[in-house]
Amino acid sequence: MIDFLLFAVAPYVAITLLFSVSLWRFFFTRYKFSSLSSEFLESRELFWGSVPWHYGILILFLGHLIGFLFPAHVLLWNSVPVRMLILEVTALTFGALCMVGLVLLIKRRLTHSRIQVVTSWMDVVVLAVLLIQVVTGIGTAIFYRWGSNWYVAVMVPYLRSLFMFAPKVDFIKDMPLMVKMHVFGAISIFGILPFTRLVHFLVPPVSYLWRSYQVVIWNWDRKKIRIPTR
Amino acid sequence: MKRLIILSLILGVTHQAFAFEAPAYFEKSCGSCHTVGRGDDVGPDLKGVTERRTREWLHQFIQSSQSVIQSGDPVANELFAKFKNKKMPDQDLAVEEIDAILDLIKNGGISQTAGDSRSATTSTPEDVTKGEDFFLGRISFKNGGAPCVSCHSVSEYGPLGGGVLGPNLTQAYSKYEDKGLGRAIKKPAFRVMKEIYSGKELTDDEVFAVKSFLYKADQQGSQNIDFEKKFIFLGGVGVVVM
Repeated sequence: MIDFLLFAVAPYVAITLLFSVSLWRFFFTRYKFSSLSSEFLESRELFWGSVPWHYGILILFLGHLIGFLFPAHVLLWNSVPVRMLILEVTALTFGALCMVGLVLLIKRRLTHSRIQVVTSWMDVVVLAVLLIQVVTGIGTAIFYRWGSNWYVAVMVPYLRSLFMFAPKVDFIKDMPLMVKMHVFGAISIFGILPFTRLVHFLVPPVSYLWRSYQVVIWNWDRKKIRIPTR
Repeated sequence: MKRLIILSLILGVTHQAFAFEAPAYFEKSCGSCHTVGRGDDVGPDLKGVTERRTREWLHQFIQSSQSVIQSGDPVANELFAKFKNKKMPDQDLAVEEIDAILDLIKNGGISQTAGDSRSATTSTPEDVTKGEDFFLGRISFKNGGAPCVSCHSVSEYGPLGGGVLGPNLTQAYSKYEDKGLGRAIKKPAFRVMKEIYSGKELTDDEVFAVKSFLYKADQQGSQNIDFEKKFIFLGGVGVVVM
């Protein structure tokens, strides 16, 4: 019954929250669709945390998406053992990159008093959920190899069953706890997304890729502003 | 309105969960290990089981055989030992669904085909190689099923070993024996595997090839190699390179 609630009911609750709250926010508080940048308050550690985190998570998200959309092609790619190994090691590398970035971001948020001032409880929730997600993801990759193969064999049919409104929980029931946590973590991210700074997913600055360069000129000593002398 | 949507979604998925047909369930979940009147297989012949055991006992055993075994039940332990400690997968069924299956068994079960009668002991080296190719995914299964290596290991085969989501199959042939292993591959009763190969059943030739490969692996014995450390090392190298 608990599996049914977590993996057959919760996904729909999460998606309903995602769409309804996001639309409500879009129509009534659209100018708060933001990642609430704290770059002005601290930028050095942000760089070393944010860059690896975002490169890592974007590649991993893309990998999960490709597996979902083209499962047969992933199996075909993995049919040559060396290619599967390359895919797995690449995924593990980006997973580790995510972990490094996330740990630095957590450290930054917890140790800088200026950042703490602008930190909400939902920020803590977001970081905790993401940390669980990354730890269980890396753990699954290492201890339940080869994830790229069984993801398309087990998880993709489960995810597709959700889209068909006929969830096949049997795919999940006998999965190890770590895998279940990773799946439920993903579901909960969709659910909490519109209540947090993660809402910036929905307004990615894609146009930055092709817009013209912008020249930014600072008329003051940035370093002095960043690290005020007491 | 939002509550109505959520409620209708829950009712929709619940309705799916309760669409139960005993013959189809028996064929998919019970028939790969049991017969009704055709002798013992991976598990015991179920003919007359509703007379031999009480309904209460059968309900408990079907829902969680390991719980009954661990409770010290002498009959359950005797059966467990007799069938080489093979664990029967738990069946997540409601009381009335189990009753429907027991009624079906009482009335003679369903007609089951005998399946491919070739034994892996008669396999050629080509059959074994072909089985290895199927196992590792070098050759795709005709109906699109995932290669075994995704979840299983056999000895030292595969890049840094096979998958570990499912059990190591090096000694699967000894455990399930020829006929039982063939059935387990053809119509797997294990919950996840059953779903994975639903509609993607292996052909008789594919089953025979994989069975032949497992027979050979069983004869050669197992090797324990620590693959996790190598994999973590490669991931660490990747991070440094990045």
